[in-house]
Amino acid sequence: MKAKTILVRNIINLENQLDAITGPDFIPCLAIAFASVSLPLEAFAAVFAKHHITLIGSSSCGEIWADGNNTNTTERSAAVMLLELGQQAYVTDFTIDQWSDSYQLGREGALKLQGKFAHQAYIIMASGLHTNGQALIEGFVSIAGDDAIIFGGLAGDDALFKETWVFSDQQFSNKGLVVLCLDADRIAVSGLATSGWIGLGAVLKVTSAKGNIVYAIDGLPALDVYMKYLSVNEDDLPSIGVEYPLMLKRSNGTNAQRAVMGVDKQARSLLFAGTVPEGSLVNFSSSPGFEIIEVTRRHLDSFAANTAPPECCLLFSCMARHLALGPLIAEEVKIAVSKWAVPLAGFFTYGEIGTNANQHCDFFNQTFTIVLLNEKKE
Amino acid sequence: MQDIFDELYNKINEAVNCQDFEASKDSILADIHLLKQQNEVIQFKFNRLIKDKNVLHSLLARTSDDLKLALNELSRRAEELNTLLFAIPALVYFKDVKLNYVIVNKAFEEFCGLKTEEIIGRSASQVFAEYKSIGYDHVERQVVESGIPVYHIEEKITDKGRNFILSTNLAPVKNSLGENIGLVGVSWDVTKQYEFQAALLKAKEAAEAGTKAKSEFLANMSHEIRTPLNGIIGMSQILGKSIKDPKNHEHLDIIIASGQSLLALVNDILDFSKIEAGLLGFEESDFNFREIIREAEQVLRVKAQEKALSFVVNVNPGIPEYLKGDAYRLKQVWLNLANNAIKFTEKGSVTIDSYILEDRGDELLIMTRVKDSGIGISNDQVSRLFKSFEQLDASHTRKYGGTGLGLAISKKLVSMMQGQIGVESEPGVGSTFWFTARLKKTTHVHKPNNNVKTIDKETLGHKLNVLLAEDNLINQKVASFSLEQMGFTVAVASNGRQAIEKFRSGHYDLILMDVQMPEMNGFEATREIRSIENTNGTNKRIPIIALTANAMKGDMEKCIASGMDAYLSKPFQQKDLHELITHYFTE
Repeated sequence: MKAKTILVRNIINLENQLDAITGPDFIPCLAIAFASVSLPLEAFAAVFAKHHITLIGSSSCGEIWADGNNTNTTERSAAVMLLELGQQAYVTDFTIDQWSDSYQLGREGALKLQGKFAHQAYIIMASGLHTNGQALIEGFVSIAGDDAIIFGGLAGDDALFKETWVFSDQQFSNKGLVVLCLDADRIAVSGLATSGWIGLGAVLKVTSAKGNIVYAIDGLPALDVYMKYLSVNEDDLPSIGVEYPLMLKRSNGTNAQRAVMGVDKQARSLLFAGTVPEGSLVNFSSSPGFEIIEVTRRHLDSFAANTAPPECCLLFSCMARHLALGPLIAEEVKIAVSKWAVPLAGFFTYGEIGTNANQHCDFFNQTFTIVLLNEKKE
Repeated sequence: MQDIFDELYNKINEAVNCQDFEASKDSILADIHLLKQQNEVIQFKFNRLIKDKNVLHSLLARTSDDLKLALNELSRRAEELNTLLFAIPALVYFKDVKLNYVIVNKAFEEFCGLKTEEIIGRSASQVFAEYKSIGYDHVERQVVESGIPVYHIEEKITDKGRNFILSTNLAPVKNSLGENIGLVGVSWDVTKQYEFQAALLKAKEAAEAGTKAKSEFLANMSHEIRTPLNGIIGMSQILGKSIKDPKNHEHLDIIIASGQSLLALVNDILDFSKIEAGLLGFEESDFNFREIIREAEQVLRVKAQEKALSFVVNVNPGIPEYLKGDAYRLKQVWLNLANNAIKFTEKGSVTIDSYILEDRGDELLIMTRVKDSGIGISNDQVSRLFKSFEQLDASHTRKYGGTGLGLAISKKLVSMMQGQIGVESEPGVGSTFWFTARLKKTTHVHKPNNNVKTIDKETLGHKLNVLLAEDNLINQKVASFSLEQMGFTVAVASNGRQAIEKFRSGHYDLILMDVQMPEMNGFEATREIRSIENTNGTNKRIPIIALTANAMKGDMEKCIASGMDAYLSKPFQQKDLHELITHYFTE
């Protein structure tokens, strides 16, 4: 496997860089791209089609790029991971949610890829605003298995909260799922999700909810609870709800952040990135400060100590981390880059998919989720 | 931040004072750019901190409000609980694992006349000066350790010279981690109830003694009334043999019939009063069902013939030969219904059928239907039928006789046999009285006593030697005459002791033994005779027939237990005695 990354400002720039990078010693066949909605995505995809490069990707909320030495976190750009690897080592797939049901979307997506390889690993992206990330994962693992290796992120839209896209070299959708299915016997996929967010204040009970829509907390409309507890206005949501998400205390003992993705001012309800079951206990959560970088460093150190060095990395980092860390976000990215000095592409997400403390696939918000790809040597 | 300004100031000074600006321009600008970046980070941190501070301040303020509200709510509830605890009209207390009081309520304070502060942290023996623990501490410790509640413990407490009895329920108390932290007790002062209960117990004992006296009185009455009646009837029958004048014979028959009516009446009243007093005994033993019915049938056959009625008695072949139950009472009900049918039927027939209504495996429900072509009963009369002292028409009493107790007695007897009794009737057409009785199946196969059998026919061919043990002179005479008329030789003993002596010295084929006798009663005498027989080792067993005034509760069992073979109710009819003797000496 050969991997190179490019950071693209516009279509011409993309063409030029592709031409420059492609040569006898590097013929990419697969691209994983994370692009700002400010770019003309159709034209962007067409370039890859023209170069006969299979593309999967999603829109983003800020892009992350590293070539092994230099690191950049940018906006209004595209970060692209280009891979040269055997055609038999991967399959891509694209599914549009025609059921308006994230569980079904996950299930159908997994069904189409069932049995492609003896052992499979998945990189998946889904439209952020449209998808209940928790339900998507539950649907996906209902076919792929509870212990399936799945990493990925929910597409962003530069914090506009309007439309979030997934795409391939052929298709686009603002309510879709795009999957890269890898032959896990040839490409090793591993990763880590770390948050550092802490719960604050009183524990409240979700008194009315359905799927990822919360209607009432402690008997009050969910929107009003947010406004009351954080002393904010209606218009501060959903973004303030991304920075100060609910911490969901789950019955299996794990905690998960649930960021606000949408607001229904009429119904006074809030749309979250993942399921918030009725009756569950929650409290507000916040990054405790800039020391979340130290949490990431600690977790990465112990993870790296037990993991073979990769040939390239993907990074799905929550947009809330960008908001919380500001210019210091580059510091956090650099921790990963400096550890392995390999090409890295990633984006700031509306939700992350990774492995939880129980070693099961789970859906998160607020995490720094890094994925390591490594071709197994014969 | 000041550091950055100072640094910037230095850099600008460096640039101004620089000898060769062109040469060091890049380095200075790079440094300034770095300072700019550092400034950006600091600016961001500053803004971020303000934002976080505002949000977190709000969050903490709200949480604090929530806590205050929750605390208020908690203290309101605690207040309510306290009010409730204090109002509970029982002694309520919570003890820690060392069994010291932690919480007590108002009633508890009042009971021991102390203030809460004087109780909390102290044990029961410290609170009640004269408290003597008779294992209550042990019970309390057990409740705490086992986690199992204990109910209705009686605590006897002496406090300030007064004696109390408390009824106490104890329940273990655990905290949210499941650790034992003590127990809660609820006690009621039941001293008054106790005194009341003791009084009740005395009253009950007195009442029971009264009932027993009544029972004994009834037994004696039974004996006392029957003895003279026995004399009247018996002597009249004997007299009848020597009277030739038909007119006088007719008068004598009236005396006998009146005597018998009176006897039946006394029996009914006696039965009824025993039922009322709950004294009617119920004797369960194996018996031959067909034999019992045949015996009853024979009693009534003559009556039916006198009225020229067709009298048909059927026992379904499905009914086993032997069953377990009270044969005497079964026969009594059968006789009562059959007797009524014959009594109230002027012409036509009386048909009695017995069959199995239900087979429950180990017991049978047997139905007996008594169908007559008599006067019948209207619907509204049926409801009064099974009530005490009711005859359908007052004139019936004169015409048909009787006490009107028969059906009421039968109803009670049937219910004792877990059965029912009823009637279907049409005035002028006839009635069908029916009753059911639950009888147990038995594996018992009746075998006549082998020893008795050895006496056999040859003995019967001779004059039987009968020993009559009877203390009452009239009874002695009546019985002697009857026995002599039957062709037996009779020797008389006036009590049990004499009977034993005579048994030792003489040769008897049969003993008729009265039960109630002075000096030594019939039971004792029989036991003694059986023991003599055993010692002799002659392998001979003389039949002993008990003569009882009436079958009081347990009499029959006592007779058999003491070693008797059968019993006859006094005054016995010649034919009954004859039947019994034939049973023992001909089979």
